[in-house]
Amino acid sequence: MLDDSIVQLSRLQFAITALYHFIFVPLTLGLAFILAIMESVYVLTGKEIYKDMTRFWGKLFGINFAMGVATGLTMEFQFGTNWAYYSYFVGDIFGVPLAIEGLMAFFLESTFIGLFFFGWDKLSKAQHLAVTWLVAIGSNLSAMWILIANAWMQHPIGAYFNYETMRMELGSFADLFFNPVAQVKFVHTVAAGYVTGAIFVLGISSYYLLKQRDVAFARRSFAVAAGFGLASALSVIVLGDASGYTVGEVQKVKLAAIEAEWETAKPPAGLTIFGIPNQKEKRVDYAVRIPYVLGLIATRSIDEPILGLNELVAQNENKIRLGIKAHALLEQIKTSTTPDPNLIAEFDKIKDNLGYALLLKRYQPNLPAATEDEIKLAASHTIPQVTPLFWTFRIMVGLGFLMLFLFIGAFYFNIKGKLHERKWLLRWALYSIPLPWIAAECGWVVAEYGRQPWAIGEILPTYMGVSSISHSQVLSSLAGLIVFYSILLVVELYLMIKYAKLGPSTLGTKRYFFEQ
Amino acid sequence: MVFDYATLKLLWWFIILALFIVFCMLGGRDFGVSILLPWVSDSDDERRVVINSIGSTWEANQVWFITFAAAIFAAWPIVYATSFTALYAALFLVLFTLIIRPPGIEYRSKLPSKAWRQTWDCALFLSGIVPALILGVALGNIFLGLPFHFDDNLMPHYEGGFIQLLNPFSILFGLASISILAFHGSIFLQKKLPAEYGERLKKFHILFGWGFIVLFVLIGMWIVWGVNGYHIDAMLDVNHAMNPPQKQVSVVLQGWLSNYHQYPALWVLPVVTVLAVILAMIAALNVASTLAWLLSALSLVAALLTASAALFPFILPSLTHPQHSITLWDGTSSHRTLQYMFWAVVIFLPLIVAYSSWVFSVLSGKLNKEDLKRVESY
Repeated sequence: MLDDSIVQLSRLQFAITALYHFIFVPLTLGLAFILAIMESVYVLTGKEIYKDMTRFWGKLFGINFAMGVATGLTMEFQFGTNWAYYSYFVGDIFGVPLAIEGLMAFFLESTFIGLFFFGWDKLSKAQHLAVTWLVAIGSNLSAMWILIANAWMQHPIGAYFNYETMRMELGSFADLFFNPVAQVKFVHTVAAGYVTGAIFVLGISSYYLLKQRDVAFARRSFAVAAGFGLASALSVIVLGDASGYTVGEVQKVKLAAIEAEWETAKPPAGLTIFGIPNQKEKRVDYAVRIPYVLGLIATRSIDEPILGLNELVAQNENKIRLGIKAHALLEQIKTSTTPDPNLIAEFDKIKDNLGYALLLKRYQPNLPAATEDEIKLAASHTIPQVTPLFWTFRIMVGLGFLMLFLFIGAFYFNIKGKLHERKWLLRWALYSIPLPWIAAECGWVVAEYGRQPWAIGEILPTYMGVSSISHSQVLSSLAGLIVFYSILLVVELYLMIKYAKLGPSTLGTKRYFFEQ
Repeated sequence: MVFDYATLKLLWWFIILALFIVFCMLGGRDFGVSILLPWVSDSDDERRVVINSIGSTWEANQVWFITFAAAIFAAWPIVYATSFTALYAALFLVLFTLIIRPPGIEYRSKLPSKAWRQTWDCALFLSGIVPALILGVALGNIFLGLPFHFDDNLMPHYEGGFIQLLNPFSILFGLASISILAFHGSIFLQKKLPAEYGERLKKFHILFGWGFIVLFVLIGMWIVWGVNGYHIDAMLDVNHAMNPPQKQVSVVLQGWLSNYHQYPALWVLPVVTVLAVILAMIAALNVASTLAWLLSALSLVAALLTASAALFPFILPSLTHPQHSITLWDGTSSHRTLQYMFWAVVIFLPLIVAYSSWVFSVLSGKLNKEDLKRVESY
């Protein structure tokens, strides 16, 4: 029997390392394009100030990038260290996007980042601009492959179970690549990164404007960030809506849990904007609902129902029963030297339910002996805890709209040209700097916590994926990572704030505030 | 499908080996420079010059390691699962030191405080010497076999601890690894930095060059006379999907020499290793820096090929359950995955080599203290 605390500790370690990593990733994704835009303006107009902008924001980019690389390393290795069975069971598919990410994207980004910093006087203007664009494209392609891998965990298509090797194997590369979840996830995530980059530049530029220093520099940076940010914030919301539709199609449990929909509502379902989910009583207290909206988002229709959690649990109970049969057939196939083709045909028909049998194993390791109560208990655990999902989702969406309004205001007053008179707007922008990070972290909690109890949706339960390692091993790596990452985060923030406060004077061009 | 399964299995062994070899040539160079950092520079400016010598390219070099690991995940999932579990503590030790590496290079010179800079210098030193040591120790333990087995579901179980990885035989491997990477870094610094460093580096060329040769020969003798090797007695058709426990393996003294007995031409590899180190030392002492760098890279390639040729076709031998040892025939992904990944490598690897070469050529040339005046330098 697997030790449950190793599962919990390994999950905690994965969550912490992923959330830490994603402090640095979105800024890289967004700021890279902002740098590319600024430098393009420099090359097209020849105005030196845009070169200074590229170099100064590039300096902050570098401080952030170092931590992105450092925290990304752990992500690459801990599937093997802490999730060995997972790695064996799905490596045939899951390893593919990770390896292509290295070959196609990470190499590109990491090779040209050095040239971005050190190539200013070794390259022509056009060459350097090309380098900057390649860094931006590389980092975004990197995100694409990682999200293809993640999307496959959410919605595992293009794969099949091979009883000879006792693992999942790749059926179709095209299915893996064109996974609908991957497409919406990619655009939603990178657009969220662009918003992060834009708020970062907007907020810090507002600080200079409030202090009335380096005004020409700050105004131009503000303008680039406002335009880029407005377009990005609109896309995040539109594409977030597209994700809602895709989730409604393929991850019904997650959708119902986010919405705390216990019963299947009469279509079209209303959208709960506020309420207190009550998992015990299976209802939402003090719910405030907008009629029709959820049905429209999730089904794009007014007559298709959205299944509630109760009904999904009942369906899953049935899948567990089929899973037990599939598991029994598999045992027969495994023990026979030349398996009977009929047996295999029968197994193939119901093998999609095998994952549900693995889920039941947690409550009854000897599947044929499973009682009705154990099956019901396992079925009741096929859905995640509702409250954390309900809230993180609403925080994310709420912050998304708040940032959209900020960009609308910033864009409008930037065009009107009276920024210095709008101190409230500048302050709002400055204090909004943490918001995209909170929204992005909430987004990952929704995506990953909402996938529970599965590591690979309906195929491999999370608890089965862990390595056979000891308690003390996980505890020490977890403690080490928390201490290391926290110290480095403090150091990073200190340097970031110090250099942001100094502003373009750090470039040593003798043109800026602290040098005059 | 263009290639049959067995051919692809073999090709993937070469691809993963190639990724690791290139990583050692480039990323290993950065480890070597980090190891030498406290010993070849005194003043702060001198240290900054050493750091800047790798500052613009180390990120790209580290990607070879990351891609190597990702390629193992995709092409040898069971190797990825088993080795990373078995080497849990060792791998986290490597990770912790690699984690402090990017901020070490990027943040060190961002504040003027002396204590701050000394702390990062220490971190950078560790981020060179610890991975170099542990990669070597890991290779040594692969020769000895790791204590692991698979259960019915092919879940790997490791039966040993961290301390037993640190046995004398494997520590020799670790020291050899430190020596050759420090040697390689030392040769690189001579090529990249002004002549005054070259004088200081001479003693490191000699120390690490001869140190490596002695360790390499010692390890070789130990393998010939004191370590058991593995041999496949029976196995299913190599063109078929199979799992590690399905074969028969025997453990024999001098087992790791069987490939050398069968193909005596392989003895060229260890000979080239030793000769290349000696010639690299001679070239470096005569200030033929580029030639020395090429020879030093050659010695690394030859040393890694010497070890790989001995282990072939084994990837991870099991000490406790020899028949569970993983080989390149039974540790791979499905035929389809190997095929797709092979084409991904065929497309992207030449591209990577092409643009990396261009970037390296733009960033080549000697560094000196004048370069520290540039705002972007570390």
